Amino acid sequence: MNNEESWGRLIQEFLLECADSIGLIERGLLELETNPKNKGLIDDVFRHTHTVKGNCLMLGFTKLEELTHSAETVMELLRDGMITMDGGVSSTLLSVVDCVVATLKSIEKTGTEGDGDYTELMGRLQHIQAAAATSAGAGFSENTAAEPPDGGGSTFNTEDSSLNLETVALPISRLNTLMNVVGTVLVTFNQLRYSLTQNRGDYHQLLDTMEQQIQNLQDEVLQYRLQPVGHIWNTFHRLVREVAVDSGKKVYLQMKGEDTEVDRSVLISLKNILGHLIRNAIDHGIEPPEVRLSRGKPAVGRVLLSGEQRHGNIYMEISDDGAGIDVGKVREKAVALGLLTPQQASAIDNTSAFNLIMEPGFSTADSLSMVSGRGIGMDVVKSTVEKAGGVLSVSSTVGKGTCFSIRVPQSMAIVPVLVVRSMDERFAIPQVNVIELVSFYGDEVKEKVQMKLNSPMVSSRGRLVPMVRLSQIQGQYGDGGGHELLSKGQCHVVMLRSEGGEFGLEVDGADELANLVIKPLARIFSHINILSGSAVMPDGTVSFLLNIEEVRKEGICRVDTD
Amino acid sequence: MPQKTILIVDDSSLARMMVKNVVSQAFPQWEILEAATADDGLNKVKNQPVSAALLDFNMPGMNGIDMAAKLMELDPKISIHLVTANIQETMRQRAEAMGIGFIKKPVSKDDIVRIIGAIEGGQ
Repeated sequence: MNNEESWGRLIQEFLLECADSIGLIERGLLELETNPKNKGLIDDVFRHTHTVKGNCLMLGFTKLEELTHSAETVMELLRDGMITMDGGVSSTLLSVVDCVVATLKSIEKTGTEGDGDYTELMGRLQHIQAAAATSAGAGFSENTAAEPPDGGGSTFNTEDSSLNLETVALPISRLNTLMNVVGTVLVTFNQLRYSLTQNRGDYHQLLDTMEQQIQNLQDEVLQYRLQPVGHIWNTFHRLVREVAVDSGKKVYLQMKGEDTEVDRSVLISLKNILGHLIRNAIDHGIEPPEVRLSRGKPAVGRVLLSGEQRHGNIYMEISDDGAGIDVGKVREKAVALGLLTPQQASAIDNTSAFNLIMEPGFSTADSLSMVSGRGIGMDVVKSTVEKAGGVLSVSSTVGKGTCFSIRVPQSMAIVPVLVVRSMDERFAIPQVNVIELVSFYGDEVKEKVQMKLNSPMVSSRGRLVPMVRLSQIQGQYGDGGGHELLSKGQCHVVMLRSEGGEFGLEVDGADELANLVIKPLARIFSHINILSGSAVMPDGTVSFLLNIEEVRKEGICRVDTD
Repeated sequence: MPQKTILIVDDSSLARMMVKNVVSQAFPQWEILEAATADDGLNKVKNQPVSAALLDFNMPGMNGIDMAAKLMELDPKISIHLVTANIQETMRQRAEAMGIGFIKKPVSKDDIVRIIGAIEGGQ
């Protein structure tokens, strides 16, 4: 086959394939006009544009390549939601289609791109790109809100990143919506003031209206704060590459659920934590390629980062298929460090044993669970997650790998809670943890609340679950507190769900359901594990948000060791 | 020397054709396997071992990076290169983290000589 013949066949293939792709692009664009948010369609059009661009590049049709490249960039902006498909964008892209078709005809006839002038069309494409860039630059900045919730100084070095998390881009239309909502609040406020000054007596209704409007305002603003986790995760490819190349390992970072949306402040506070867990997974989890092959594993190690939203919570997992953690060694070490007695060490289940590596002082003594090379213990990772209102847990199988799971509220600014009373204080319990509130009176108390091995248990819907009392955690009733419970005339229990299982929390009474703006704990309280934040109550006093996981752990452990 | 095989995976038939031309001219003794999708490529490798693979990134269905991970699990010895028209930094980083090569479209004769030369020189 001589060169001319081979070139002829390439051109033929080029024309066939481009005509195919262009046809699909045109059909896709027309469909997008009626269905502008169809993500699958946008992806298809993007990919076909990319194919045409690549083909022009390969055969050296530079003018056409330049034009399709610019169209591809616009498609990319559409795909990433930076611009929306409107009449202007659509007709520009359709003009590109027409232009490509004309040029393909010229190539077919003369073998050259011809002398068509794309300047005007290129100008329109660049105008669209420039408009997207300006609207991103004009976004408002909210520096104060971007501070991590941990007021006590940043625990980790913030790695340089090209991502600007301090700024969000908002289309003008959303600001208009916001302005409208503010307008309605203002109108109601004026009516309310008039009603109160004139003693008209209809303020109840106005208050209800205003509450609804403020709720709308809150929802609107929360929407702006949500961002897909993928924005942050994409920066991890670089980290993975660096750690993999440095350690001579082969790593495949896989992501699932990049579209999961999380409040920006949660994202920011977790960014470094995730980075460290990934680094850890590669350094300590993934074995060198030759070791993996000798163990019958593929040479390339997998690190999976996944995200999912369920019931207002975000679940993230960082798992690897590396060497795993030997739970037996963890037990031995806990005993050696004096954290547990040998009896306790053998009595606890594997989940609790793995969680030991996140205890202060555990990881710092051994490289096993150190976040590599940074001198940061897993306990710091854990407390950072908890400061964001989340829970961190770990599971592992020797030879199979390790999985760190993080659960955080999707938005931590405003939390729906149940306010309860206990020990003359008011505490807030996140509503996601609450199953139901049960009250027993008279003889019912003895029937429903029982002492098993000196620990109070409560029966609900035919099941017996541990019962925790805040007073017990605070140590007010001393040893074996609980017997006096049975002689009480009434008993109120909030049934709760937690990672560790269901349990009941005995309270003096329940006050109300409320949406509270949760603030991080003041420093003097930050050592109290069972509290995860504070909030100003409607009457101006301060109450505390309970960390349900810790309440369960402390409450039940306290009884075990009594 | 036993015959060696190279797998070319790209949804563009033009792209496959061009790489095929380069390989068959420079290394006529090599057998060439073609696939338009990652799934098809993986099926072909299950039936016939290959020494080298050139994978397009942007394909319908599974992309080139995900396919590379699966190929490495099938046979860790395959010399894998990711081929792409866009030089995206993230893409290069992902390829390097996995220990696979990265080349830019259009694939040149030099690229092919380097890749196949390394395999032939390595035995």
